[in-house]
Amino acid sequence: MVDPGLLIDQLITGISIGSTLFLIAVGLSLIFGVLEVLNFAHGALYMVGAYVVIVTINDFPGGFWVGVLLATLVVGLIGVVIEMGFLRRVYDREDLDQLLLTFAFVLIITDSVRNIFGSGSNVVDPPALLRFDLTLAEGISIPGYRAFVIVMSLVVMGAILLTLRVTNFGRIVRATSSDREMAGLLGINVPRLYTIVFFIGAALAGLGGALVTPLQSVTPELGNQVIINAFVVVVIGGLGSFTGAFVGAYLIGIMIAVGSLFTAGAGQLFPFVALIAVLLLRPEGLFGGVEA
Amino acid sequence: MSLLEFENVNGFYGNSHVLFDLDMTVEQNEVVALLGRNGAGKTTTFRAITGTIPRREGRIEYRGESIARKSVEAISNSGIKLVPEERRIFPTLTVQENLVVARDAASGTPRDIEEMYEIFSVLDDLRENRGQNLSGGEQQMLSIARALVQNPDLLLLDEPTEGLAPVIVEDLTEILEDIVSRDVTVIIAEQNVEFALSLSERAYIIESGENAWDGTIEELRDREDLLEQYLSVGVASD
Repeated sequence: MVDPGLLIDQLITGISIGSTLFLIAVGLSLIFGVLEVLNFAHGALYMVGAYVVIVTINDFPGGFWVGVLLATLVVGLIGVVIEMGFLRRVYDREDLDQLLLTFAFVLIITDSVRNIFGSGSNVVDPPALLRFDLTLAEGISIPGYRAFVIVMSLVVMGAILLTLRVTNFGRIVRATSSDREMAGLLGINVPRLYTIVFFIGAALAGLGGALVTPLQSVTPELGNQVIINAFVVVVIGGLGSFTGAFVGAYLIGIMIAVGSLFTAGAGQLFPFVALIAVLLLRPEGLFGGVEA
Repeated sequence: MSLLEFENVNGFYGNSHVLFDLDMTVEQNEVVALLGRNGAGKTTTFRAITGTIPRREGRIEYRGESIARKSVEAISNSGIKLVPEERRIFPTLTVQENLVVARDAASGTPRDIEEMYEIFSVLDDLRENRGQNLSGGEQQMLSIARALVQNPDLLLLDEPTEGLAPVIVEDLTEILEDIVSRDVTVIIAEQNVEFALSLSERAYIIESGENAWDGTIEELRDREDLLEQYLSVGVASD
């Protein structure tokens, strides 16, 4: 029998892992849901977000928080360059061409970062404001920064759902994601909408990468480490579904953490067991086909 | 100056040539029927007008200005609105949201959504229903309302009666009679000849992507041979 205290500890760790998984999966899901492009470069963009924070802390005034803001903006703008300069030329081609293009960006971005910053790992301290332990109950506590990341994932989820459901922009996004041509026939500027959505998706990758810096050492390989789990989360949740990405991320996070109590290597094993199970039993994903 | 002019228009899907030297002229405030069998090229003609066909050649002018190279949204924003054959309601948006999206996307002065609920009273009780939960007739009404709320100058109706029960076609006829009497130019593509003729002033018959005949509705009613040859129907003359 597993000690209940240990189980609760791992559950909290799982939720914390889930929140970082969600922050990377949500942009991937948004871009796929609207543009129908599987953006392999999403992990690389996430990694760039982390490096923007490191550069800001080391070389510019303002520290961590300015770094997070800059990471969101800079990576969003890199997304705009990728979308307007390259991706928009291949929407009409087969999926393979789109995958190859985004994969090319994985290689280009990862090697560029390696050339500039080297392969060494970088560590960032949590901001002073959040260097405390939050006590949840007798003997159960969570580092303040981890609690903050969990809150941020809830804030991002809430902001996306609210935007999609009640704003004019959200209605246009939902309409266009269900029928691109009909949206164009109504006079909606679909190419511009795609650029905006790609900006938001990439900015979310930048935000996710920036927020993970105090939790994980940062190397140019960071993106490649997280992109696979992000894909697993998005497929389990249902491609293009935000609720799915949210539930999938926390499910995988908890599975990894709690699973590690029972067997070594659970972090590698459990996401894929879950993926196979979902693909066999419910190939459209847990929330596949359900919007927002 | 005609509202819409087609001269020697050719259309292509990839390597297949589907419209052949098509000519067509539509005047302001006219109602024109575009007739032909299933597969004759009616929908493709609309695709050539709206810019959704992969490749088109020839002269396509709207208000004297070429739209042959304009984007789908630019053509839509110039006042041409399509009610597609498949209706293409946004399935996860409610009736109200479908109309709001269209109203907010309109380039000119849109019409009032409440006015749409007056014209299409069946939609009034369905405001919060999702598009995917509507019947075929309700979807058709919403598809027309969605185009109309954008206050179009040229309305393209692609097979509006297809798959609808006769009683709903009657309702639709009444609504469309009201719409065409207003300040809007309409092209109706139909296989339901009687329905199309009852609303239109002139007709074009196309066959295999080519012009087969054009003239007034009175002329067409006297030409049962044409109706049999190109539309496989006999039609009772008034």
